[in-house]
Amino acid sequence: MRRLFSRSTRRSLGLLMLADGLALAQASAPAQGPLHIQHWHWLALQDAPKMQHSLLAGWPEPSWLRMACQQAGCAAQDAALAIEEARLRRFSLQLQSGLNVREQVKAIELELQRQMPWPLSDTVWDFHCLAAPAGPTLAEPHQRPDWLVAAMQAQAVQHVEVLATQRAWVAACEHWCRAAGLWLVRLEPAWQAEQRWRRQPQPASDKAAQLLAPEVQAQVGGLALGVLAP
Amino acid sequence: MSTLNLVPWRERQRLAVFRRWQVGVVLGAIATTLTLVAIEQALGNINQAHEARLEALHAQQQALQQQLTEAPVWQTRERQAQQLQQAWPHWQQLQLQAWQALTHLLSVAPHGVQVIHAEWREGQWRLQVRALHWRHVQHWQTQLQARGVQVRGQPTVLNRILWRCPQGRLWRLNTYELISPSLAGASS
Repeated sequence: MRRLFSRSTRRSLGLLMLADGLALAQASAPAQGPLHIQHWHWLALQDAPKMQHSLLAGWPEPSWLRMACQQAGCAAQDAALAIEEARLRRFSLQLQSGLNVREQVKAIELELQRQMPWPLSDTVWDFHCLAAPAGPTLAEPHQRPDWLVAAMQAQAVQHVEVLATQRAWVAACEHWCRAAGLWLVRLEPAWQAEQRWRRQPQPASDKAAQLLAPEVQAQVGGLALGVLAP
Repeated sequence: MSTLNLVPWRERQRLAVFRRWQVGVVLGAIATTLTLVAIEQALGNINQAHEARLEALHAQQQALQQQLTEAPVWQTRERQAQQLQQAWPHWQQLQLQAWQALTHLLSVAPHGVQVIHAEWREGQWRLQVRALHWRHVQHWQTQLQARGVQVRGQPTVLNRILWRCPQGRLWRLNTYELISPSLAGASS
């Protein structure tokens, strides 16, 4: 449908679940015009009805979110969520360089079967190639200098970073979004969204944006932008 | 920059590719089947038309062979018909002459002579007559000759029969043969 009506304006919604509230940012990509954040919104969860689902404990009911989004004027259907760090497993693996994607996937699956505490069929994972060794520097990949990236890429060993989480939690998130009238397109770590925001910062002139902390603003804004321009 | 996404997009992409492949296989199989059916149908039609043409040619060949076999007969018949057509005026003329000759023969009443048989053969009349005696025949010949009609005959008796007259008397009747002069160029 999107391809059929490519001239229509595309909108996305970034959702960042925090302890006391839910930060929303709606990005808009008009057919002719720059990608920008259209709306910022903050929903306090004090009075919101909570989910009974054990995996989504503390999250608001999707019907409440749908109503709140409508009241806030959000019209987006594609959504991005930040995954909680506690649910995330991170691995840094070394693979033989020169492997194609299918071979890389197979090698990573073998490694995940060995390292994950639950079966691979219950795991959702994704990876990206790195040019840096595993360690503390992986937490801040944007700090790697270009010469180091080039030097590591020239090596015969390929470094990959793998993120994994439980499939049940991802499925619960997808169901929650569907119930709220949203289509979950991206589920990514908050640092990745923040990194995206830093690469393409948007002016925050909205009043609601000024209420958000800069870090939260960067994360939720990065999530919204990630749907339209990953 | 990393683009990690934990929505299982790889699996969905693989599933979508697999479904596209399945649809492609099904569509390909359907297209192949339809193509094969169409080709078979077309070849069947071509074969049927070819067989019909062969059958027609075979029938035509048989008819031509039949005509070829009957051709000499028809040629002979045609030749005979042409000959008959060419000879027909001459025959008509001959027939007229024959009737004229017979009329001349019968222009004199044959007293005492009974004509029992008249035959036109090879351009002349052959008459078989019965008479009690050769003189009666000669008398009729003389009368005919007086009228310019020549008839020749022999006193040879071909056969004899007995004839009972109304008065109860038995007579012996002799059969003689008379021949008229032959017409020029005439044949039977």
